[in-house]
Amino acid sequence: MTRPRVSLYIASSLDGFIARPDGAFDWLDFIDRPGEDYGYHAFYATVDVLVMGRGTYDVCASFASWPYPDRPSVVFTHRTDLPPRDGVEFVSGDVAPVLEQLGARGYKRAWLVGGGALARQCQEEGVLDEYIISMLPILIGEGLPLFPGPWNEQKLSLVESRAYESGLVQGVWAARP
Amino acid sequence: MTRLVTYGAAVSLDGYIARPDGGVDWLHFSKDAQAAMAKYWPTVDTIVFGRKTFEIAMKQGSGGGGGGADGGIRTFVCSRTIERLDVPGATLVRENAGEFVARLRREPGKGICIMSGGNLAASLFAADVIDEVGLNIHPILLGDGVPMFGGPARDIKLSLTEYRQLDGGCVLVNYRVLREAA
Repeated sequence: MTRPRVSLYIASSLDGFIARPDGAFDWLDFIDRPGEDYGYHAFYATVDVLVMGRGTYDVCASFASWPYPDRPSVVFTHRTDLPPRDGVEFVSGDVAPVLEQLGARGYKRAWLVGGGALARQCQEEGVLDEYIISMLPILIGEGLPLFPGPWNEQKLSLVESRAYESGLVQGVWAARP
Repeated sequence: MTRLVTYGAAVSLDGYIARPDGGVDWLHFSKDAQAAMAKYWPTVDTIVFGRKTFEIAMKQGSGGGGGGADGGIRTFVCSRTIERLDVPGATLVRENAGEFVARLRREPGKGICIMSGGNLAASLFAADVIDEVGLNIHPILLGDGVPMFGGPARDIKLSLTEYRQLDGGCVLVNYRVLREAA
């Protein structure tokens, strides 16, 4: 088994949404605190490769500059007409074989960026190892669900959790075999 | 001063309070959780149920007439579908649940506990009658079931008032609903 450990690392509203219906993240501003990154840089430093779906890719690609220039990214999409981008590889099909290839390249930890359909596919293939979820103290009522059900049932182990001054609660849950 | 209205539930990490059939076999009943509930119950004298939650509670022998442990608890069951309720000690509420709870919380008394799923909770959030939200987050993805939240489509900002890990890998969080300054 050489595939990298796959961690979903994501912020969610308390009612389980990762973006508004139109994709907006403005509600994340609620927990903006000067000098507080909620462990993001420490996490990012442990990541060898990014894995994302088309939806997340489109969001990232819409930024003025590619937000992850110093890490390779793998994007799952059925489209074949996306313009090439440095450091970004487009793939399709099952996730597990792609992860095996990434493992063969020496990557130890993959960040599954974005929730939704790809996270669900990873979970169904049994390759989603860890859920690192930052729950914001806000209900937004509707939007893109972090866990678009129905999913498979899965028992987890709480590895650690902590609360921040802003009211954000972050937990790390590991998939149980 | 109005009475404190709390909406709390044990919930899976993916936000369900029960399986699609109402099953709660996945709940972890720890001493920790029981102690938290034992501290909470004396602050409450009224329970407002959603109809489905009430039916599940009845099946488990914990609905109506005071939830077993506490005498003198008033029990209301909100429903827009059933026309009568033949459970001693429980009163059917057929009017708009938000307006009902809004009136209830202005009456003298202790805290009001909401026991429901996302549907009733959404009506009560929409009517702005919920003061506190509590979750006992269990380390499981159920994949499908009865959601804890069901809207409404507006932002409700919260302030974290309590956070701690419980036995069994559960995480307890309590929040106060932040309202715009009146």
